[in-house]
Amino acid sequence: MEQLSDSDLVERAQKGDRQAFSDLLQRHYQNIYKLAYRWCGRQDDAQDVAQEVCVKLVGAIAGYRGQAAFSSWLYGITLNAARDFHRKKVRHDKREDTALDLDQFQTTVGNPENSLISSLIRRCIALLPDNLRMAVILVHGEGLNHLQAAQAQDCAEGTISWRLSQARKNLHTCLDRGDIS
Amino acid sequence: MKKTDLKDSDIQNALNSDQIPAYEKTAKQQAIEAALQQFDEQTEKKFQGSSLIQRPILITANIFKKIGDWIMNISYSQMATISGLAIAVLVVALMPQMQEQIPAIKEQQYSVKSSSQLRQKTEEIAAEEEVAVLQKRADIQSAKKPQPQAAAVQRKMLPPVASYQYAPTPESMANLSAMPQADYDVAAGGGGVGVQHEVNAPTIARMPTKMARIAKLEAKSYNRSRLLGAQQMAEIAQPLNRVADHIEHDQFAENRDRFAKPQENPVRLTNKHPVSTFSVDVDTASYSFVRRQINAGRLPQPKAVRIEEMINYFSYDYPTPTVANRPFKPTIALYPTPWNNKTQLLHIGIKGYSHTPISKKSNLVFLIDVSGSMSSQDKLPLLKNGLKMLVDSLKPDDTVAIVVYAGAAGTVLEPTSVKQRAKIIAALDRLQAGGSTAGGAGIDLAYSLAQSGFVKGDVNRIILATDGDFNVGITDKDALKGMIEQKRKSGIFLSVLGFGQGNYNDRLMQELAQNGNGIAAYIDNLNEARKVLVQEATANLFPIAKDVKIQVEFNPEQISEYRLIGYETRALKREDFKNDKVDAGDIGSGHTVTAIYEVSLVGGTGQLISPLRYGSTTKPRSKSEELAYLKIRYKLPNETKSKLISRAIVKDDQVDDLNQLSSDIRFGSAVAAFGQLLGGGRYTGDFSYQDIIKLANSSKGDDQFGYRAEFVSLLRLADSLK
Repeated sequence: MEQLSDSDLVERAQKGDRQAFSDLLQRHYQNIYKLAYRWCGRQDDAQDVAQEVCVKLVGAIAGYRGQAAFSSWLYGITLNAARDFHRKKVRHDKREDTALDLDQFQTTVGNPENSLISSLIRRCIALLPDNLRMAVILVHGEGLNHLQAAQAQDCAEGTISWRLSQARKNLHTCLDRGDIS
Repeated sequence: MKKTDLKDSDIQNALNSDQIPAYEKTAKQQAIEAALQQFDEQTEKKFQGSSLIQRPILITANIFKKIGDWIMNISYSQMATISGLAIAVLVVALMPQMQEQIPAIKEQQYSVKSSSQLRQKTEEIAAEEEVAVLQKRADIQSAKKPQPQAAAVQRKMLPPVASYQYAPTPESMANLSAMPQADYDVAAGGGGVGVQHEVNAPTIARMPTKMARIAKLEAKSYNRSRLLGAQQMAEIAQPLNRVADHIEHDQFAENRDRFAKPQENPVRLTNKHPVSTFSVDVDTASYSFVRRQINAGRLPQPKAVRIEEMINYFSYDYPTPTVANRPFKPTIALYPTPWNNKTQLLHIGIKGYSHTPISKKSNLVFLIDVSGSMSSQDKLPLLKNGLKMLVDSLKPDDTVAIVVYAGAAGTVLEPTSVKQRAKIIAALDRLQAGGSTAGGAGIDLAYSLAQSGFVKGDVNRIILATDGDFNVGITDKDALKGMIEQKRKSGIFLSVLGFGQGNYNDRLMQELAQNGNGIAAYIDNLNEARKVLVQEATANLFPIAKDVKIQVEFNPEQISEYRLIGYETRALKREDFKNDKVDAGDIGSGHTVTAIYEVSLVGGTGQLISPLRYGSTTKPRSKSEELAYLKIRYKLPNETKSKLISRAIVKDDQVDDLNQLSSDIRFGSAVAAFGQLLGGGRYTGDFSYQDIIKLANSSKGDDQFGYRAEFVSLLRLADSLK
């Protein structure tokens, strides 16, 4: 009852402590949902993904050995689940452009020009290859540092830097072309 | 758009989380429920194939859960209910065989448990506990008898499920609960059953008749209390809590508020332990929490009760010292214990020097939790109003900055002088739960802002407000405490304000505030916000002494036993008293601190510990008439070497009649009695809430703000809930 840190809760949950597991979910649901939303761009999809992640964690948590911060590890699981979910769905819906979904993003309050640019950037981000898109979302969206993002994507820290710069190039091309339909 | 135009900040803006709509609360609930169900199933699987004893217990647990879920939440899928009942039937069918083995096994377990208890508490085992253990044994014995009846019930119960191939309706459950109750009145119903570990074979035997009721209890421990009336909840909660104290791995605690409380201070033999040492504590969080629980219709968990914080919640009109360099003056009284006519209370009251803080400037940084859970009315909105009141009470030169954190952290308001009040208020108004700003860790940010406005000698303080979701960037709590301690040494202090319920992490709050030279207060309503943030703002913001430790040496010639009421979390080692490296609590301007010992005088009859048959090995050396000797160590705010105040406690301090005492002292003892009663009342004998009400009513004194009157109404409420 008295534990606080994620690692303490995880340890207890691994030993079958239901309350600890429930606490973990309570604490991280918001982050799971947020990240899922960034990927799917729809509230209902994001909620579905978040539920899937919660259920998945029951089995997955045994495999967590403290190699990364729990939150980073969870980011990784969430992103993978979101990607799989979305792939399935896109296939199912015969939708080709994931960017369409991102129209669901509400327009930013304030300067309309800024919000237009933001919306363009979002669409371009949505068109990035999965790995690049993940890196961008983790670092620029969730504010993770490169190490944390690397842990989430299970790659080297340098790879994240490379992906970010690659993503930036793609975004430039995309924005320069301005050919977003 | 040109290549050079794309900045990181553009990408960040595009991904700004303000644009993410909040999730639906029901979605979160569903997700967590789904996961927990899976979790239960997995846990069950894990234990499959292990010993016979565990198996039936786990099955029953599962039944209770499922039936509980079903009663509480009819929309649960039909499949689940059918399977739930099917397992129930299975167990009932197995019962005859199980009953033969299990009571014996269980009884063995109980005797193991009680003997280990005895070992642990050789000196101090409370009669009450022994009775409880005996009671449980008696239960087991009597439960062996009603087997035939249990069998009859089984027959009654089997056909419905076997023949009706439909999902049972609530009415059919009602029928179940209406079945003959006769001998089955679950004696343990209020106590053992609600908690998983206490589910035992006799319970299984009683199950058919009391299934609905047990399921309710079980459901309660699954936090599904919302459908139970407040009265019922209170009925259930109290014994449940007592049992929970005895259970180490209490997975099913009724509530996620976290409290740390070691064993209640035991009675000490003066011969063996003549010296008692502790740190002062001016926190008040426990009282507010207790009040909130009682107002919500339930008695608080005993663990949530820290008596010293309840006592220190109230201000007492002890005589004040007149000079700042000798910042306090102890007030001593020895008087008959209200709840025990054989013992005496030794009352030690300290009031801090009160100075008018004209010269000092305050640089405050509010570090505010804006995570989704803060959105309810008793959290962020209350906090905003409280902080506005505080801003109104600050001086024009003072500065305020605001940092928020949720998933990420950000500065909402750079240090702003209170002259620009409108700007500060506007920033507070803009705060919204759920949103988050990109950035580094909240607490780092708060400290760097505090550093930027740092003026040596002024008040540099971070005020952290949270409901317990403590994702400020550092997840390792020891690292966090270390950091706060480090910053404290550089002159930036930290206070913690707790809000809300259900997620409140009391222990961490307390620890953080202790490490940060600050107070931890729990704020449950606007009045409390005013009390903590405005009325006591000077006390809370201007420490007059730090690391204040109290040591009392009892004279074994005069006092044979003593017991410190409360301060369990503040105990210090005897040798730490003089060690200036050991941290202790601080006292602010005008603060009062009260400590109460219950003592047995030599020659009296109040001793709880029987004398040794072969006499004591240590002969008392002193023939002094002094009863005890009080020492207080403290450091002035800017000094590192401690100073000492000491005073002998003598017969002249003794008063024979409670009515000769000041109302402040009597009131303090009433609060002490209340705290002890809420904590289980181990030492308070027959003293009832009504007795406390009488005592408190006679000692309300001035009560300018009505706090003592509120205390009395709280007592009445508690009395009706017990």
